[in-house]
Amino acid sequence: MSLDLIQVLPQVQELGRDAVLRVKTKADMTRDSLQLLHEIAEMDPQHLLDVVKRTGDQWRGAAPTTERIDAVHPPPPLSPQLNVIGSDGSQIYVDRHSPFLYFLINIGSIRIPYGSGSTPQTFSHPHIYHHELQLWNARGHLISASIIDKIRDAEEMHELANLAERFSSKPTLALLDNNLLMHSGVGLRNDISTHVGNAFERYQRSIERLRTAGAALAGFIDRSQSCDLLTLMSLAKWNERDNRYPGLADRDVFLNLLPPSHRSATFRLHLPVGVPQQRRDPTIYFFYLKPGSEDQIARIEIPEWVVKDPTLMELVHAGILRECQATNGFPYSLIRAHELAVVTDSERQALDHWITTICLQHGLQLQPSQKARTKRWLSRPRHHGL
Amino acid sequence: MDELGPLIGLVTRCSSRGFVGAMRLPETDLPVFGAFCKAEAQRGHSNVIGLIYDISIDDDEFARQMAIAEKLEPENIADQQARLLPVEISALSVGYLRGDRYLHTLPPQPPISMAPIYSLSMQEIQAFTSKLDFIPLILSASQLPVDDLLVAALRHAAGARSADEQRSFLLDAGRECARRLARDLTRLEDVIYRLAERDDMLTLSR
Repeated sequence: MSLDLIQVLPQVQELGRDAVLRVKTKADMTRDSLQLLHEIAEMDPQHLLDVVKRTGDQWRGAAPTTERIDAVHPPPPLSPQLNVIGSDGSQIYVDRHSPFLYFLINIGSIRIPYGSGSTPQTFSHPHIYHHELQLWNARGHLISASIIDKIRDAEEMHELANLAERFSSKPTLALLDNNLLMHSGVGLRNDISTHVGNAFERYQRSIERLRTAGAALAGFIDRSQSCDLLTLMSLAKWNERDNRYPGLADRDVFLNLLPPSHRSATFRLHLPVGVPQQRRDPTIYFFYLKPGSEDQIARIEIPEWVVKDPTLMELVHAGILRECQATNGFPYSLIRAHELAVVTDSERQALDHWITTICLQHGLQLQPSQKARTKRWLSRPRHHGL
Repeated sequence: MDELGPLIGLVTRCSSRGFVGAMRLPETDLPVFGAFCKAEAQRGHSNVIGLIYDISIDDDEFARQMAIAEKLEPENIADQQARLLPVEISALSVGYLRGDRYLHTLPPQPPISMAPIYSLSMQEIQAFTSKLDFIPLILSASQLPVDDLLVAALRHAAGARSADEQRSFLLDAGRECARRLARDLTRLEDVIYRLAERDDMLTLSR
């Protein structure tokens, strides 16, 4: 063991004291923020919209919709027949120390026909990317982890679109364990690489296919750190462009406001405009939901066509609750999609071993970097009798 | 069923005394306790004959969470049953087949990993159990429910025969058990009693 616990102990004690203090400060701020939410809800909605409009195109925050911002919506009735599709992805990033350069994306998905009594169908689609053009950009840089993440996001959405088209006979809830923004990564907004361009095109096309299929698309984000609503509240109250409650997230505001199974008002996500029109994400809306345990608030992101259709909104609300009832607050389909997608360390090692073996069969002897070899020397802890 | 009998799993670990296989199977296709199976060994030169003594399905935290959930949809239950949790099948080696000859002793080599495990067909069970020399291998197995396994295996072997032959097979088997368990009359009585139990399933299993 290389971590000196004796040295760490005083720091852990300090951390514990700090955590207690932080909980108390946060509780005070949460109370304040809820009061402020009610106060701002009394304001003229048009005034709020004007305030947001005046921020221009470099502000990120929530914009109100037609719903009162402190509104609480009870769960709609459950439809006996419901098709739920969910997808999730996992990846092996490029490792420049491994014997062979590649990355892998594995997409797991499931379709659950609630009300039919049938066994859900599961799918898994692994894909290895190893061509030069897939690994290097025009400037000769090796593909980065953040771009691989974007390609994975696009593949997750593509899989959802495939399932929505294949099983389009019933009302369909399409769930992602992610937000719905492709360009949310700051570093990628100005990325001009073909990788990002292609992934974004695929992502946009898939969203359009989901809309055409009539699916209620929703991104489920557990323990979201977003503070878009708090930023709006700071703007409306103090004319400040940033969240005035450091350390507080939107979900904290709703912890004491929402009864179980209830949702908040819907908000439109106002985003900075820093990318060309063809690279812009579709307009995204969101609300908060208490789907299970008392202390859990999930952020649900939805596209415009869902917000504009009350039936689809009810489908998202009731469908997510149905998905969460046995799992205490996280959608069943997303748990299973993750299980089908996840690539473990041992699977990665097995894959590396296969690649090395197959290359050897073709007369090519591959070696990992010296650094990777030395790490392997240290990978097994020594056992001694002391 | 093909000539080989149905595939019931792939070997995951093995030794000379037995082998363990895993496979995802629908409930109706699961092999049963005391059934005969075989797995290829020695690069196809022999087949190890096994007797299934344990069938297990592992759980995980997710399955346990589902089991105690207050509201569980039928589709969730169906999905949990179809999850990739392997059914593990443990078999005791009771002989092997080389060429067309069955030998009732431990095999020279165990099967290797990923060797397919097949159920024995009725004809193969008849041929293998035409001699009862595999009984000592069952009785000498440690830490297994050997008496239950012995009775189940003999009843399976009887079930693979026509109704006319079943009685004579079980009588012969009973005599062989009496010879092997002569020093433990209580145990013998229990084995003989269970072998003689009337069971309509015996003929139905054909």
